[in-house]
Amino acid sequence: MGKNFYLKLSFFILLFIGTYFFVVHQLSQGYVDVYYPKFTQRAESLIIGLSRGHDGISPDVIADELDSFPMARPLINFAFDKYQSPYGEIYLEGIAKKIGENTEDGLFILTLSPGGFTIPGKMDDDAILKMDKKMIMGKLSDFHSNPNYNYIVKCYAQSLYAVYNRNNLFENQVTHPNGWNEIKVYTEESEISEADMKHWKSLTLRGYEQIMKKEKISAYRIRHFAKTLTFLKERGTVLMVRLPSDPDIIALENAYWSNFSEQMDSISKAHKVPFFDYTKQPHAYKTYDGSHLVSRSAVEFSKRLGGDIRAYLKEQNN
Amino acid sequence: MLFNSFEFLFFFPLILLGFYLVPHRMRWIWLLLGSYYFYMAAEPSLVLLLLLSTVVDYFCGLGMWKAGQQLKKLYLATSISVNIGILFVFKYLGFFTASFQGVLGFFGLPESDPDSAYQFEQILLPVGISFYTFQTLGYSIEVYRGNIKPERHFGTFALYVAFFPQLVAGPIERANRLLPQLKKRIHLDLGNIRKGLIFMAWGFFLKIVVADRLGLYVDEAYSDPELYHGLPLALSAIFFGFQIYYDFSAYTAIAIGAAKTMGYDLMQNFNRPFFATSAMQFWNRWHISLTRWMLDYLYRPLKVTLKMSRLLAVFLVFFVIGLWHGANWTFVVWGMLNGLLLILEVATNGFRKKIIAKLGLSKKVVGVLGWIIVMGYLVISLIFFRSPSIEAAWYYLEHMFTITNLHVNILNNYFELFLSFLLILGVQAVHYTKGNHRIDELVVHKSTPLRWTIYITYILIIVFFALNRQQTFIYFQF
Repeated sequence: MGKNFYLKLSFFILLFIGTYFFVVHQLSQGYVDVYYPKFTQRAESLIIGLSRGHDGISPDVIADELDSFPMARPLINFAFDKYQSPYGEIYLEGIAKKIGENTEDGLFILTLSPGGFTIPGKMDDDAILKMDKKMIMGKLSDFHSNPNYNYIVKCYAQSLYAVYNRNNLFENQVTHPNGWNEIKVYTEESEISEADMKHWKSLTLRGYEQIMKKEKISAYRIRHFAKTLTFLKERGTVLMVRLPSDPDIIALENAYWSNFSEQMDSISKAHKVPFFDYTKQPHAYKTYDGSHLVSRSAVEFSKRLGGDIRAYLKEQNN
Repeated sequence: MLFNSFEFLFFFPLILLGFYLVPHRMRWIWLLLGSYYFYMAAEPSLVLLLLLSTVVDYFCGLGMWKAGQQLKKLYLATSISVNIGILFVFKYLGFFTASFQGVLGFFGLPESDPDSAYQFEQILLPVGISFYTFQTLGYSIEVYRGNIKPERHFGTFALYVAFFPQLVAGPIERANRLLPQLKKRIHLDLGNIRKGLIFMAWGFFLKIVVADRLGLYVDEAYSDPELYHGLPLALSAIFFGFQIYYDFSAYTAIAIGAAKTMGYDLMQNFNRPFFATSAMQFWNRWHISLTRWMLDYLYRPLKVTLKMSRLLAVFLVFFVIGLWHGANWTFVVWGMLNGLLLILEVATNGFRKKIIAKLGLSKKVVGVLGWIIVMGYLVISLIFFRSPSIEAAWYYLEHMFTITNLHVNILNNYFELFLSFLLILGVQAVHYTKGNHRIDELVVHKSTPLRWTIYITYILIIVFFALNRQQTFIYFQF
């Protein structure tokens, strides 16, 4: 009876572990989630920040624009969203783990939105750190493997039946292996209508208003942003970028944090890092929800940013 | 440490293995070390409070046994002061300070230090503090009343306070049940291990497949109730009722199962509460270890010693039950609402009986009507439990009844919604047939092929339908 019991117990434990990892492996062979590709390769250069950077900058377009410059590659889009990558100790540690230890001539584009520097209400540094440890980068130890089982086991928040039931994917979304999240207005299967975009914009405005009521500008986040700049400057060229967005959204952000761009500008000067602010440009780019660029605009913007970086690097080299 | 964490997957088998390998006289050391490690995995420094509560109650217990009546009272007062004091400082100080400042502000009086409430709110809430302080308090009161002898072995007593399966979210065990068990010689019994593992498996299923899944919908609706008028809010309120039940009973099932594998029997905390047809029945079946604690150590003293009226005592008890759950007026309102229903039920008992007789309603119809009222009331009162503030709860309540559309699929996933309903039905069916304490009957005494089918189906369900959210149990925060 005893031996039999342990044998059966061992069998079921092994069956469970075997089935689990089989399905995890199956999942890793297809689409996992929107952030998974950011953790499946080594990176030498990074795009950093929140969701505007995640959607708005294509690493391939930037890399093409800087073809003639000796930039360490690959360039990976390592921007997430407000809840996964606000500036802080955890994001800085994640960046350090993501790039190679010997990287010296990397390119680091730090995108800036007020959301990357705020916290939900009054919190001391320990509380912020505790909160940040719950982010993907606080849980993960493996930032490079492909397949990245560590990511799926620790951070994949859906049920694994999704392996065999992928009908809930957003058809207009393309998750690129370089980390860029592309949102297409038109695909063969579906189209995002103007009415949808208008509605989404109203939701974004409402959502931002709600968030801004609670959020407070955090000295901790600003301090760690400065630390991130210092750390990355030793690894290559660092740039600060405020992406374009819908004028209503930018107006809302500026009302919340009136001198955000000026403050970023003074940080950039203090750290001798260029700051490209595209929010003061005419409305050349289209967003799908008021905040995030649609595919075509993201490509156009990436080209423009690449061109501006090229000009800056040229000037530096002269 | 969370039961639903990877750490526990390694911790528990190691503890179990060690438990049966270590000689009987050394087991308390092994279990105590394991229990303290389990507790310290979250925040090591807070173990000092657990230790303080243990040391004070150990010596108070011994002191009470030898002392005369006056000194006995002093020892009891010391035990109560220290435990309630710990609770007050670490759980309620920020809340009471903020409330006091709110009152001062309301009357236009200057606040002494506006930042002090914030400073106090930053004090880290020790996990399980309400559970272990109540457990040790119960011990002290029982020794004071002469119902039990004090435990002389400090290690065994420390283990009674810190026993890892029930340390952070109960059941709040009674000393006369658990202490003798911790001292008895336990031999390896595969029946116990099997039964324990079945309970644990059921608990994990309830937590990571059902409760966390319902939590997705609930979190979405509560995150921005303005977006979801009417039906989604109503559905989310109902889902929350099931979520909190499954979440808490999952913890209890895992705790009971883990203890059972080592030969210990913990008390049942639930007895099919969602089939209750009256408020009285519900509170006799829900969080049983707490309601019995309140009955024995608060309600009876209020009624017998202080000669308080029955209804007032009930109301006070439910005020305390609300406050016990958390340092927020939302919990107090939830407690008082439930107290109010119970008072109404008791007060109108005779009147209702007359009406029922007049209308000639059958027992079944009365039962169904009672069930609808109790469940409906519970769902509504739980809106206060789940909301971050009274204002938010009001907002939710107001808009829950404003049906502007029938769009309930707020997660944009019909399959998940369907699955949630299916799981609720399934779990309720199991609880209806087996109750909360005969879960093992789903498996034992079945034919081998059927058992194997159940095991394999279980594995497949966990692998494919578990949500990997590593969400803490709701009752951890209390």
